[in-house]
Amino acid sequence: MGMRKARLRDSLIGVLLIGVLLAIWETVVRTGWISPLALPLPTGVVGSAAELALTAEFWRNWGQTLGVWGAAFAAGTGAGLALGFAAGVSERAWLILLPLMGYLRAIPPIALFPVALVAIGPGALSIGVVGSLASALYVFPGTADAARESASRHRELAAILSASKPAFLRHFVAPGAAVQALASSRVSATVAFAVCVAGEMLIGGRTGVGAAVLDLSERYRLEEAYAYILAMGLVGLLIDLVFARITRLHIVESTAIRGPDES
Amino acid sequence: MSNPRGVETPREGEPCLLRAEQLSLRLAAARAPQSGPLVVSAVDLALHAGEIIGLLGPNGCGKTSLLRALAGVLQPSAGKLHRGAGVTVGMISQHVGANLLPWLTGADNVALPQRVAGCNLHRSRREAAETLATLGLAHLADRFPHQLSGGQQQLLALARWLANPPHVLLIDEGWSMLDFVQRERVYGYLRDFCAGGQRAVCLVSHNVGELAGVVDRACLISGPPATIADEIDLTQRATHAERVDALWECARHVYAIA
Repeated sequence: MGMRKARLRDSLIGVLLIGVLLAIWETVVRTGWISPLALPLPTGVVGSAAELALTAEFWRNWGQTLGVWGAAFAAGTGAGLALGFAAGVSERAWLILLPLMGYLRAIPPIALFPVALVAIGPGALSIGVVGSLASALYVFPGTADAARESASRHRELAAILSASKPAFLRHFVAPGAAVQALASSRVSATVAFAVCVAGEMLIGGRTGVGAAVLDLSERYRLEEAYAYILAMGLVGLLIDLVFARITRLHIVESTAIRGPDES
Repeated sequence: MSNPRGVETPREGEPCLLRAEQLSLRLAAARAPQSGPLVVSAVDLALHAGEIIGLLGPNGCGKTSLLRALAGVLQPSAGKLHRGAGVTVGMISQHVGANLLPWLTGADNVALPQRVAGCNLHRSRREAAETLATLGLAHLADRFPHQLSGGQQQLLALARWLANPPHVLLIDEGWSMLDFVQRERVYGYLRDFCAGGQRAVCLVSHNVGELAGVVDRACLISGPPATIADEIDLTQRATHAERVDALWECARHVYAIA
């Protein structure tokens, strides 16, 4: 079997597993092992999702959530990458930033929502600030470690080539740390998404998918609430797949960590 | 310009590109940077335009540390290193992987000095490809370092400096993985490199036959710490066999080989 066919087969098994989980869910609810009052039937959830997809409110909620997430992720990851590369090339920045970022990262981002609520007020701005902070804290350590390793490995060659600091960063450190920085960004994207949804439930007012899930659950419209949750899983999967694709493309192009050719 | 050690060199009349005066080097210790082990001790060495000199010595005697100090990568703890005005220095490390960036193709690795200097990407790539073609290495242009043998990686590292020639090229066992055919070619490249009388090469090796085949002058290093125990001019020896014999004789004396 060729490599391509084997990969396709493994991907199909992954999709099939989701189908198997849904089938088990359907079975346990239909046979009465779990009450439909606690867990709606997946067929009902899918039907509700189809109906929700035709409403403007569904897309408005998703637009709100993805807008806040996108801004938080861009700002946070940008800051995390910048600080990570700074810590990688500068011993002084490394010594200053490492304990600070480690300390902040130990605080669960959700615990910062009450602080943001008091300092900024309810709504998208507070959620975005906490989301971007979470994003920065999760992208920083991997990037800093990779940049430091790359800087150390190539410092001598850069010195022989009389590379300026910007040239050192651009031609030696950044490409060497790119794969790890992308992998950290992938984690940070997922974390920022989770933080934004949680923020909408806690301090978001009545907009966004997080608020919609909370509202529908309180009104006992479980099929619609679960439809939103299933859609969240899909969006999270899409975000992850996009980053996995970008990372894989970079690895294939750079071949920095691929090792010897199999041929 | 006279040699600081007072030893007559075959290129006394040529401009001195790089000169070490009583150069000493300590490896930095983590807790006491000034009290690390002494790896190079009071070395006087001058590189004149147009010459190829060799540093010969046993393993661990400090040849590489001396070369890194000459390259300006390590700061001397005592003595001085004089570089002529505008003199550029290139270096090929004995660690094959340290010479090439793994995410760049062969052509891009050769073009790296130009890219770091801010030259146009397409132009520098084109010039690198031309150099590789001239050296008969065009087939390496689009390949990544991990797809190449150790010897091919060493050739690429040399090609980089032939495409972007510095005034002084320091080579630390730069062809340990090359086959004998490629070695002969490399000797030719180095002679051409210095033939214009503008550039110099300093080679580190512990192979007597190899050095005798290509250098004008050999410095025999003892240590650690590295010191120049003796120096021999090989330009007066007519044949390769005479050069090897002369260098062996000198090495026997310095290293007390029976």
